[in-house]
Amino acid sequence: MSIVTIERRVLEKNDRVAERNRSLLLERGIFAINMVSSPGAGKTALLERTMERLEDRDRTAVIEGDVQTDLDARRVARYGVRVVQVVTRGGCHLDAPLVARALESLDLEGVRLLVIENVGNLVCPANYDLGETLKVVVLSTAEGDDKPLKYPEMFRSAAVLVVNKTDLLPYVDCDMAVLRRHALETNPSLRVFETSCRTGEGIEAWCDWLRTQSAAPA
Amino acid sequence: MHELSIGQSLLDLIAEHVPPHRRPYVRVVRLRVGELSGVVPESLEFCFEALVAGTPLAGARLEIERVPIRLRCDACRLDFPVAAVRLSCPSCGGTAARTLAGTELDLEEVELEDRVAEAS
Repeated sequence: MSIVTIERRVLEKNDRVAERNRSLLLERGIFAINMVSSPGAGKTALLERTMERLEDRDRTAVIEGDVQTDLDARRVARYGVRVVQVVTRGGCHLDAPLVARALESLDLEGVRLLVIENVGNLVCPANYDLGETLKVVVLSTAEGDDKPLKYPEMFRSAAVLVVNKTDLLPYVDCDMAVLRRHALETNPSLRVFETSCRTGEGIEAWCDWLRTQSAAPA
Repeated sequence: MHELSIGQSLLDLIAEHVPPHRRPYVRVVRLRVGELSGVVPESLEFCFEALVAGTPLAGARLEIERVPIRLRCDACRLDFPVAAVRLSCPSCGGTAARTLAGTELDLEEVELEDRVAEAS
């Protein structure tokens, strides 16, 4: 038998393109977040509540990733931000080349904040670097307080956790203290926000953080 | 789903390193898959088989080495293994640590039949 030694990362092609995306965004001073969650946790609703409040909507761009339909892109476009829809046609995650193509089709002039809304899925997107500045996990209270332990890859690779649907806390089996403890055990440096897109609770604190991040020189 | 696209990336990477005339002689493809990589080995094996069926790589078998999670404590610099990701340093109790190992998804090597290796 003979051996051909390869020793390369299986996803190195993706990671190379992700690095190109990252340099492009860095050069332009754009703060980019990769929003991930399970389906229905409220990524798009959070984005809508955020766009209602952000003053710099004309300096904000959104890449909407979905398996099918441009429903989310249409929801977000109403707020006057630049939006491009990426339909993965069955693909369970966005990858760096898809984002690279989306970036080409966006006018990035003057953009300070880029939101990439990933396909709803807590597993696969953890493997694919898109070139973002940081990853934001959105988790709804209805999903339960054990999710950080069940999806450690995702929570460990993220910088921010937004716990959404806090208005449902009285009705669901989710203890916020337990959820926070599990999240921080998985990733002690996670910054945690609690929001309700229904009542608006906590949205302002999240927006303040976004304002600070996207205003800071990259 | 995700293992399928990872399987395709794996085949692309093999194709970069093994010229077409040697591909039918690939017997084993060795991968290192970290416990924290989010990849299910059984699912990847299944997808690999489906992807190579009817191609020159049809005879190849996937061998997956699981890499356990290892962390390094930010406070006392101790390297330690963890069973699950709930972490705290066994020496100083620190809860902040960086990941040293466990996120791998690496193609290590492919093994080919001898006579072809000599011929090329």
